[in-house]
Amino acid sequence: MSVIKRRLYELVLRLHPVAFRSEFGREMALDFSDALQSYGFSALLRDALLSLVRQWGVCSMSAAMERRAVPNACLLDGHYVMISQGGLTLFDYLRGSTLSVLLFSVLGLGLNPAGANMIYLRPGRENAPGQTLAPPSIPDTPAGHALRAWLDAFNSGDPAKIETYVKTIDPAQTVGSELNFRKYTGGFNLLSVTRSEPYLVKFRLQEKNSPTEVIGSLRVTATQPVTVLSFSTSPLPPNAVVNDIELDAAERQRVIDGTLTNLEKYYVYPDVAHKMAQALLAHEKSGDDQTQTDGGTFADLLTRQMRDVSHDRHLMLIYNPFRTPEHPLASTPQDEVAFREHMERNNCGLEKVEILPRNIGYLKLNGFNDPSVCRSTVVAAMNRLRDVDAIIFDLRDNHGGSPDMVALICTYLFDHPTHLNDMYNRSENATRQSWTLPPVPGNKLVDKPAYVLTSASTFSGGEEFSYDLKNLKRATLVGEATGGGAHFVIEHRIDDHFRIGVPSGRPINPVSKTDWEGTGVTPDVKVKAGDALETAEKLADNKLQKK
Amino acid sequence: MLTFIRNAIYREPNMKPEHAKFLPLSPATLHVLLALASSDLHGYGIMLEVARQSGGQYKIGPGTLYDNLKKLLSSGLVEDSAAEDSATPSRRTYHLTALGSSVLEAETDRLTAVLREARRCLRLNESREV
Repeated sequence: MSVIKRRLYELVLRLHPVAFRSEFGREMALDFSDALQSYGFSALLRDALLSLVRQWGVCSMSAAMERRAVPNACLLDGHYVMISQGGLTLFDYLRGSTLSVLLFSVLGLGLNPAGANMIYLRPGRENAPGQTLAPPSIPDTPAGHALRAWLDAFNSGDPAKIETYVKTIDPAQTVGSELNFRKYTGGFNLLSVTRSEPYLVKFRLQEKNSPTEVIGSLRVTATQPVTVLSFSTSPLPPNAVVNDIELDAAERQRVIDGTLTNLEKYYVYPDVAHKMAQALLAHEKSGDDQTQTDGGTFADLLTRQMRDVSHDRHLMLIYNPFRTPEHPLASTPQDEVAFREHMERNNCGLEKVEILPRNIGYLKLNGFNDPSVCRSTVVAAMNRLRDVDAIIFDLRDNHGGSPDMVALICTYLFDHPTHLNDMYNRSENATRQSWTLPPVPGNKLVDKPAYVLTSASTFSGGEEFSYDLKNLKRATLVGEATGGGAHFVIEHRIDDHFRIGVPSGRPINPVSKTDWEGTGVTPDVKVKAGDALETAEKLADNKLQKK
Repeated sequence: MLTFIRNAIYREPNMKPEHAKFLPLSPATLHVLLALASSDLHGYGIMLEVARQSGGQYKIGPGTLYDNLKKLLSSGLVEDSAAEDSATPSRRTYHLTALGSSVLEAETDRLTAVLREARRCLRLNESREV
């Protein structure tokens, strides 16, 4: 008898589409044999018949539609056959007929490109966790007040309001950076407040320009006047699962141990690494870290303990309120796409390209971004400035990036490949030379006066560009002494929630034989950052008149 | 070179989480993923585990199972491999991927919120009736 049942079942299997049958047919037959006793033949047969209908339904859609079926929680996806149930009920028939109608609608829309898009669109924002119709209320605490002040100033996009906020509450920020961030994001909607203490508030935001969600944490001083101690906003990366943990003693120990290991192994100066490790151990022994249960606060505390010794602003312990991928440095295809989209939205950090009066070229660049993505954007900007009589690079809001992009832009200022720096890397114990590229055909900037505008927040790669050109006597630096960060960083994973950026290498300039770590780059003409452009224009003007 | 804290972190790619587009899951999909959460199983193993997890209340047959597995495989939530277990020669086993695991976790969070809301509403109704 069971042989007949199996034959019958196999017959139903044979009626399935070939692709499905060849992939799963054998497994289904095996499962049928295993399940026959406990599930009963009729239930299994009904299940196989329903599968048959569904598979032919799916099959008749285009391959593209099928790919969308899962991501869009397709109509066919909701089936849950209860085998213990009796025969088909009225509900089943109704559901079947509704499905047929819907299936035809889907097919109809599938043939129509506009309609297909309609199916593909998902009400993603409505699904955003924590989002409510009315804006969530901000707690009436010192930290809450600071958050309110920031949101009001930031979302207004008004430079005067942002300046007031920066001056009174968050002096570590600059108006320029805030305005750029505002322009990029379009401002933020507050989705929810996830944690509130008197001096700490955690929250979720959504960019107005995109569906990107951001997790934020703001901590303020307990003393008057209330100012910001730390303020982080991290966009949720692809695949992130939010899980803001409470630290216990074991987790704190794991983070301290991981930090010590990574410092001793990778930090560019072994002796400084050792001193930092000693300081961390001393703080741990004296119980300074014991009470911290908040990940962000703990990461800030340890970062400060290390920086008190090394003064290295590139060194950073980072807490993620979401689980860190196993290999944080390995870029997935989605990461790559997202990075390119991000660069496109932010025009590769290129804020302005202009020709000022008296044919002076002006380029405001807020980051030296990876040439593999940003080369064409930068080359187009430099081409636009090819006929100017002098050029000003405005790096006052430039916080760094890739040494390769520094070399690419420097190339326009030299008529031969020029040695910029030796890049020493401790973990490989190797030195790589950084040179400008071969001369650009048709480039006319080689002998034109060049100026670089700097501020106290010009940092890292922005400083390298300034330092290189200053030492090669190829540009006049105008503005303020820069931030003083020369080391390059490699990130290491500590555990699911903590990672550490360890400065592992340094540039060694062939002219000065050193770098600008801790000292910053001193400008040739010292003026306030706000006056730097005007000063540089005058300098260029004078120089051009003398010609 | 890493930069200033906000910009540095902000320079990382930012997008909506990948798993968001899979939610909400159908009950069958949820149970299949759940069955694979603790160990890799072959088809019949998944069927038994689903029945066990629901206290025998729900059972899925091979048809429903492979309809779901087909989609889960093509969307990368589940991977398959030929089992090395000699007792069941060359029977395919299925494994939850990292993405599958994060989708499952996100769905659990979502359902938790639904339950919380449901309990709140039901309590409200009870108090009104009283």
